[in-house]
Amino acid sequence: MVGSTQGSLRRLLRRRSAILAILALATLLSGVVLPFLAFDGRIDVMLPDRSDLRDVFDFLREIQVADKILVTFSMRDGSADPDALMAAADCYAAGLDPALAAPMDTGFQAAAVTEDFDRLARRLPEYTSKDDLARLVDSVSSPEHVRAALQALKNRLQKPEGLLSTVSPASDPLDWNGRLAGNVLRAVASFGYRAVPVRNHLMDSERRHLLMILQTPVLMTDTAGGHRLLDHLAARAADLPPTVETRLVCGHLHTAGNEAVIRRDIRNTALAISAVFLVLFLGVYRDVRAIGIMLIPMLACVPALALAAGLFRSFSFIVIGFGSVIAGIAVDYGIHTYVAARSENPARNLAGIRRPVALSALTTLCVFATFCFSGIPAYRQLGVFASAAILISLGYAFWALPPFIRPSGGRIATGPLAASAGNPSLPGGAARKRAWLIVGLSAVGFLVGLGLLTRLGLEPDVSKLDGTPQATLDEETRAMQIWGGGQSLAAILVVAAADEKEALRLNDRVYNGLQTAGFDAAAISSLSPLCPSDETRRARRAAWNAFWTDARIDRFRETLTAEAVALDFSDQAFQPFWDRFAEWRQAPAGTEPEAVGFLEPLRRQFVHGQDGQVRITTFVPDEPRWIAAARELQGEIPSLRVISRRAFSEDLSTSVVGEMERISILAAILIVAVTGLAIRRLGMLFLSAIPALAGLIWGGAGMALWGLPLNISNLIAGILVFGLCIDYGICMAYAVRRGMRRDMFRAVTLSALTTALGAAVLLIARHPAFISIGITLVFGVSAGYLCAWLLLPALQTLFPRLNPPEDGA
Amino acid sequence: MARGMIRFPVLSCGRLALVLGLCFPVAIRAAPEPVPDVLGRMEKTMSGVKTVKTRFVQEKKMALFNHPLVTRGSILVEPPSRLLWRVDSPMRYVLSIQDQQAKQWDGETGKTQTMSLDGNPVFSAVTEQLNAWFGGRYALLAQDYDIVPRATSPAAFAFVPRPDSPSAKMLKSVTVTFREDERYIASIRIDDRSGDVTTLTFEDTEINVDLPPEEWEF
Repeated sequence: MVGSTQGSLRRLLRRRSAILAILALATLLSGVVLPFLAFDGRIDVMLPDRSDLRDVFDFLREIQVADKILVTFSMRDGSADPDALMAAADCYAAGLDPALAAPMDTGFQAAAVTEDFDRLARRLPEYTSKDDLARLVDSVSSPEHVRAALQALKNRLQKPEGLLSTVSPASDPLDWNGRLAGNVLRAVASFGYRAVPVRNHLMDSERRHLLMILQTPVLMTDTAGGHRLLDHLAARAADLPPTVETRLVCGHLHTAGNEAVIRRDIRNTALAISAVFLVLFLGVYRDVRAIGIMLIPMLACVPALALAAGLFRSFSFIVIGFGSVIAGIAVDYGIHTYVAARSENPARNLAGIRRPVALSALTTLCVFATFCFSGIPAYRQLGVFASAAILISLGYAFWALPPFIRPSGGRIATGPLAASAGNPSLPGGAARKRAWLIVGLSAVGFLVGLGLLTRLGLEPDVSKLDGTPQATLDEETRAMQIWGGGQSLAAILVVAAADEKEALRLNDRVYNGLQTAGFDAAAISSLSPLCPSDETRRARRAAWNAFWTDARIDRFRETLTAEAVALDFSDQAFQPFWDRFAEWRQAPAGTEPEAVGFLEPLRRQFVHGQDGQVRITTFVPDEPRWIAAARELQGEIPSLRVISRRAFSEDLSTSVVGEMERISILAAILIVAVTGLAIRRLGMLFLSAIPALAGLIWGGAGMALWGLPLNISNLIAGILVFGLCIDYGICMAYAVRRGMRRDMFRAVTLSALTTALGAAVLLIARHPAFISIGITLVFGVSAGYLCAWLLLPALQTLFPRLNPPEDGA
Repeated sequence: MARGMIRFPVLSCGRLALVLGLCFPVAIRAAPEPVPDVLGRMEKTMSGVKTVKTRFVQEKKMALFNHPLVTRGSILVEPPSRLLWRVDSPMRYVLSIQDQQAKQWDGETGKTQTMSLDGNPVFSAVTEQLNAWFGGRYALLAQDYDIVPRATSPAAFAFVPRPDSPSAKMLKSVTVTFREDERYIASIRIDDRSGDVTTLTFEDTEINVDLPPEEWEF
């Protein structure tokens, strides 16, 4: 009874209508689920989990660009019309949806700047470092020095700068406040930005551009939110007068641009691979049913993607871009099935190919299954997606395809591929001679490949895999030309503490530590000189008061008065200075400093609060000696973190290469184990491994020929090449053993051709990750195939005991 | 985000906010009122000025000193972005500005200092003002000051900083008096809020003369 039910079910499942219904249902259900799953184009999917690299990456994103948008307003004709630009900017800002973006509260009130500086001047002792105090002491140490300072003041007043200066010379005869102001301005200028405040707007010096900085609550990683934000800003720009244009610089453009490139690449490669397969299968087999071969991986990819994407919080578009490669691999199972089904003895051959084809799928699965255990999210996603696609394709090929081929089968068309299956009928001597020639040429090929490999470098910078459109990058360059910038290449030192007071104290230690190590303060962009910690302020005020004893003050007053008279200064010329001087001495130590308005934006750029911690950044040149000094400071300041682009690349290189080594070794062991267990013949195993080796060598050599370094995306492709090429070796060795060489040659040829074509369509992609994968696979698979086709038979001719034919084969 | 997210990236937009804190002793303000027609005419007339070579006398009457400070020297102007200010007495000094580069020579020390105006917002603002005043870029100045006619022959205008501008706290007005032929400025008078007055009088002014490279050297 059970047996008859099973038999009925089996018969039912072999019916074309049932197969079509099941396939349609599976595809439809999966397709319906896809829009409800999350996808994104983020590059950090290539970074290892729970690593310092990811923390650093997230931190950089947080402090640098996460929530800021630069909007540059210009007249379309390039003219300078500040009134029109300001009116446009005000109109633009008024219509912004605060839920998406709002003009940044700069804390800057142009009219209050003078008062701000005055407040700063009242705190002079707290901003006077040890070195500054020493210089100041020196400037009052003798009548000559005082006279020189007064003469310098007099000269300054007669120079052009004296025409427009608002610093009152009466309150600063020795330029002490001027020096303080200079320090502040140098700190500001060290960032290299240039913009002029004009009626509470920022403009360039020519008044041709206006800068507006927006803050947005939309995360850069929020793809849908980012689209809404960009659409909203585009709508705002569309409402401006036609003479005014806006240009944006923001991280959201990178995310959107990168995603658009990947989406376009996926669409183009999918269309290209469909067209190529259609032409190929119809051209080779001249049979409309051959379209079924092409449909297998395509139909399999839909449920595989739904399954894989459902397992992850967000699935990478970059991984989906592998679709054409996976299709190129998975289509092989359909080819083998089709060839067997249309052979002279379909039943025998269909049964006969199951083992090698399943073994071939298993070796490929070994690679992708290993990816599932990677610490890199993109690899895990790829592992699940590709494994599912391969398993489903294999199932479809064995179950769904034959009923559509077999009943009206007939002999397969003899195409051009059949003629090249080697020439076993050559006389023994000629065959050996030909075999030696092939072995010799192959050896040369191996050597050339190895030579090219020595020229191959490793590119560890993940950012090189960013597919952001050139237009967006050009826009950034343009904005930098107008507004300055370029600090982005600096190394960042970060201290963290539970509160800002402690963080400022640590920040001072970093600043002082770097100077003690001999570095020029001018090269350090730090909050320390602008916003010293309470501890530093107290110490400086104490040092100030310790120096300025009553006796010293009296002497200084006498000297200043005498020298002033000599230079024609009036009697009461410096009374404002002495009033301020009394204030410096009398201010109580340890009080909270008054807020200095124009320093507030600076403070916000250095101080970052997150997760109950306050972090303060310092920017220094990203050079080895700076990084070494900063690392030494880590011994004294454990919370100090050194973020260097250079060091980041090195860490990434180490981390990713380590990960790749781990996966490669694991995959290789699995492949060899599976192959060994299935074949259980050392000679066959040896022969199978040769195409894999050739594929690996030439996969890398291809990158060298293309003038590209290896990167983390084509390292994935390298492992894939290994898995695929060992399949070709297995199939060809198996074919010789079983006497199926001609049919198997056709199948392997088509299989390699489809895989190479699947990878080759990636070369039309714009995304750098896809191009790299395409090159590695095309070269690697081609080399592996050539090896399986030519070298393996040659070796078996020369060394027949390696893989003797089975009895009756 | 940055080129990619890792590219320490991109323009770090946030830190552009730093510039908002720039403390310009001379704030540039804009004026909503239309520039008087006559000033527009002056600017048009001066737009024909390709070069200016003039001597000047600067007199500063300041409460700080018992006697006025008198400075003599010469100025070369090649609008819109080239200017040389030479002081001959009582000290020797030269300031040369060309595009975004400024060079100063100090006769006391004999030293020459070169600086980029990009990295020096204060100096950049000052030189921008000098270029505007001496280059006749009154449309630019009209954005920054209220303009009040003072006399018609010779034409004179007072540029009064807007009340909410930082310079209004120190500067009362700048009065520009043109030559009879209206081709260039005859004098500039700067009145500070403190009561100090600076007057610049131009003498032997030559317009559109050839200024060979050696004139700009020092």
